[in-house]
Amino acid sequence: MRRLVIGAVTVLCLVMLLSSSLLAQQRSFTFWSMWNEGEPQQQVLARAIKDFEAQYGVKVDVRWAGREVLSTVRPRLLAGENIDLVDQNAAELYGALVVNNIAGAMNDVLDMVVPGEDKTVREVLKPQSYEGFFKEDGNLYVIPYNLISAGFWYDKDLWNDLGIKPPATWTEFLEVCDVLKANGIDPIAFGLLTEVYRSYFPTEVAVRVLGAGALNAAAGDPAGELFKDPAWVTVGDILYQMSRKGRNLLMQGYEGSVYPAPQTDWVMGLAGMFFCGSWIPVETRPLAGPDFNYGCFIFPAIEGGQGDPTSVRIDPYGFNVLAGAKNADLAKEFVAFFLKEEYCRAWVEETLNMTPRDGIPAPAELADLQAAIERAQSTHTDYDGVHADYPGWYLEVFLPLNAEILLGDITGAEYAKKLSTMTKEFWARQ
Amino acid sequence: MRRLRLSEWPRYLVSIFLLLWIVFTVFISAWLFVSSFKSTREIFQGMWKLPSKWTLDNYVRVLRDFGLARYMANSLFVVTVATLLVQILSTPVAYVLARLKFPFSPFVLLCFIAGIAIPVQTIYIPLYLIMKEIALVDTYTGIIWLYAITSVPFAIYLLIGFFRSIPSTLEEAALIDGASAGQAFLKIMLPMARPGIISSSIYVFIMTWKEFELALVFLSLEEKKTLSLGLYSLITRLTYTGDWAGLFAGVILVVVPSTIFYILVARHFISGITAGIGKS
Amino acid sequence: MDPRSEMYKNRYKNFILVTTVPVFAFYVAFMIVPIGMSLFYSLFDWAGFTADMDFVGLSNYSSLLFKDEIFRTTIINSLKYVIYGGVLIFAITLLFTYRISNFKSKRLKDFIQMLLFVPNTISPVALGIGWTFLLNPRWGAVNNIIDALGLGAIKRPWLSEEFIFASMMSLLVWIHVGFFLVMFLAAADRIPPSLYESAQLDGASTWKMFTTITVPLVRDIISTSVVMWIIFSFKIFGYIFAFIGGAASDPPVNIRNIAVQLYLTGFGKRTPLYRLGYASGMGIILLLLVVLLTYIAQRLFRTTETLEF
Repeated sequence: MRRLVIGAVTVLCLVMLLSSSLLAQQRSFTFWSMWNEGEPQQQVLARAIKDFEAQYGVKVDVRWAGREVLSTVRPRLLAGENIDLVDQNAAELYGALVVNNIAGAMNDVLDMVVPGEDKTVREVLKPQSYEGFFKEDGNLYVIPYNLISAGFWYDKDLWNDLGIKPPATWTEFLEVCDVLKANGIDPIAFGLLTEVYRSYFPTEVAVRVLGAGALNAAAGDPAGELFKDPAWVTVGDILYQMSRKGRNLLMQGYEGSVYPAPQTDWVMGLAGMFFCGSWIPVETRPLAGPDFNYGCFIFPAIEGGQGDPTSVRIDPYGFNVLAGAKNADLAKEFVAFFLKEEYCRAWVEETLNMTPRDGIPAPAELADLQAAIERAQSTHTDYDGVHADYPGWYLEVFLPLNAEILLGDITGAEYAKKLSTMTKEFWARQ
Repeated sequence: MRRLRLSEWPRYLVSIFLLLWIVFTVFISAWLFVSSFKSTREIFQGMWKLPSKWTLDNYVRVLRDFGLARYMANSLFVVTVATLLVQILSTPVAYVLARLKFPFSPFVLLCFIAGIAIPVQTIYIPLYLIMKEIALVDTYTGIIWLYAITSVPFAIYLLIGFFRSIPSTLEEAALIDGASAGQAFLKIMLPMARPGIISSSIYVFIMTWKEFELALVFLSLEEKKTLSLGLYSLITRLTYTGDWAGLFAGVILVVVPSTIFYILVARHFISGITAGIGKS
Repeated sequence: MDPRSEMYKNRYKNFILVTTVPVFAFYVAFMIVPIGMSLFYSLFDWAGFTADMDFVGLSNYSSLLFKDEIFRTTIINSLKYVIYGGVLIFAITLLFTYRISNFKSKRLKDFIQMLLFVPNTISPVALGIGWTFLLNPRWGAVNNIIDALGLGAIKRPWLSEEFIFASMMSLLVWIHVGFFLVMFLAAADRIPPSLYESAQLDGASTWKMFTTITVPLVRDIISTSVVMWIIFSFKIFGYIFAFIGGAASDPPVNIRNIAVQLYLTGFGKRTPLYRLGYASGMGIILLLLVVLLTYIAQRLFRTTETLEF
């Protein structure tokens, strides 16, 4: 009898030891995310993580670090900590990780099959959502899961009442502005002091007049020669027209206005349109009320411009698996997993953003933008890549000059000239 | 009615100014408080009116959906322990530096005082590397230790003033009676310096409660985050969803306990400062 | 007899060894050594993600001091905050001390001090955002009150480039007056009433009494406070960081001080700059400025004699 008991206990111990060592070897990966706990985006991701853990029998160590995730991650990487997956907006990922050669190439993920479906990631994603992000080495460093775009937001009901519709060209745009002014409404809501807004128009106009990539190339030209192209004077002139010394299209008080004033003023009917990102419906809905009818159109074509008039601004937010990540394979499987239809749908429904996944309709508020994206023959990024590639130039040359031209303190020709000389001086200082 | 004297015109002028200042302060707090009971629409459209319908929705939303209670508990724990630790570390040192001369003591004093000026941003990358080596990142122990050591210079500075104001006759008497230095310190000096210790504790508590930069770098695990991180992430979250009313409610929820705590201890703080200031 | 005398020295030796030496050692390890490391990093061009560091010697410093216009603006801003802010804060605090120290009711005195101190207990991020709301040109309290009082002419775009520095400074002044008031009143309270009584008998006004009796006697508190202000003001971060846009965008250059610029350069908010070596250089310059100004302040106040009474 005693021998039986001893035998049973030994077997039990062995089983426990074995199973604990199996558990200890459970596969896992670490994920540092840009979302904060409690945000709708975090909740969708958290659910997907839970499902992934259950289905694959693995553990995911996730940290909800908030928007400063890349800064938070940095000392840890330096100290040799293993971090497998991060997410952020593509420009920041490129500006932080790619520039420092610690981003892993994500090309292989494009050919992975989305779990449970019989399509590859490449077949499932809209090409516009990632096409612009291949680097010269042929590598893609981000797989998007969130699509942000931008355009002029307007109140459809208000515009119907005034009998105006979204303009396709700059001339039509000016006519629309005149109608708005005649009705006592400032045409464009704007806040000069919020730096992120300040570069929207210069970039959009540059893309329409010179084409995507022109701004980027000119910013990177150490001799400042590319800015001497006369087309830049056209860019400057259009920006000057918007200023208070030109045709005064920007709303009253814009020189002292700052987030969240422009969007709240626009939503309350004090301005006719507001150029901003696709997050506007989410951010202004509580103020706008349930009946507000959001409309959006992309920056109008500029007559005589060489840029593609259908080019839409694309700002993907996505994943990167770091170079040297110990659990890269597992992390990449999660990336493909998150692109499953159910999560993309949940993303759209719960966070009111667009998904880069094809075939899923956008929320009603973003329908116009989604249509524009699908029509687009090319895309550009929010600062034409200048933010990620030349952050110093962006801060020291672009931002100050944009303030001057949008205040009307300099003319279009001066804007172009200063761009050229200040770019040269900037590079000389490096 | 007190006589109004012409020669007292500065007094009346300043009184008016002071009154305006106070009214302004009260008005702002009241506005914030009242707004937290409105909906976001009302905040922007009827900014200066009373809410048409006082609602607790914002508070419910913030309390239910977000982990403020957890963050507050963490802060309470971390800050209390850190404050105690600061007193334990600083008080003997302040005593020694206030009273005794030993080799290099002016240099040591200077080092500590210079430490008050060190901005945390200058040192937190190196600090991270150090803390990483001893595996104290993302731990309560680690953050408590960092809060303590960075508050020590200022605490020493405050306490030195108090110790210098205490006459040395009492310790001398104790020493003559055969007490050891430790006993003289614990039984005589400590009780006498109590107001100073209390006010330096309160000061450290308040400053550490507000601390944000170190927590951002050293605490990433949700369950360990402090209130200032929580507030920051709350603000981020609520601005991205346009929930300004919720933001106001959240801010009030965070601010009210700290303010009440401060009001309760204010008298000790003020009398503590009164007892020792002017002698450093 | 003096604890310092030979007989007692031994007893204190152990005490010092146990209490002071370890604390000093830890302090050096956790605060002084990192400064040395920071100084070391400032000689490199480094992003901080990898150990890839390029030695650049002192060129970070020459860029910072001679070529970087934004940094130069932040140095000037930091100095403006210290000097203009300091003058305003201490002038107002002295005026309030004058008025409040005369109060008969202790409860009223305590209440006002407490009330004015409260902004110091509130999270800087919340206050920074709140102040932006207040100064909003269209729906901010300030402009609305000005209109209500019929003083429309003095309205200004408080958040525009020309005025934003003054707006930021008004926030800092509002907060810190409450802070220093507590200390000044405490010091004023130590003055024995007998000194005032004789002056009153001579028919002096309260203002005269304040300037001739109170101020000289609280001079050392003033000098201590000035030093504290110099140190604090250079470290101010949260209020500026959150001003305008809170989490969404970088604070405008016009209000940035060195501490904020350091963070933005080294850690980025919206712009992926990540220049740790360069930022470390800023940190060292910041430290040197604080030490320099503190030294100057100490010298200016050196002629204080502590009056025994």
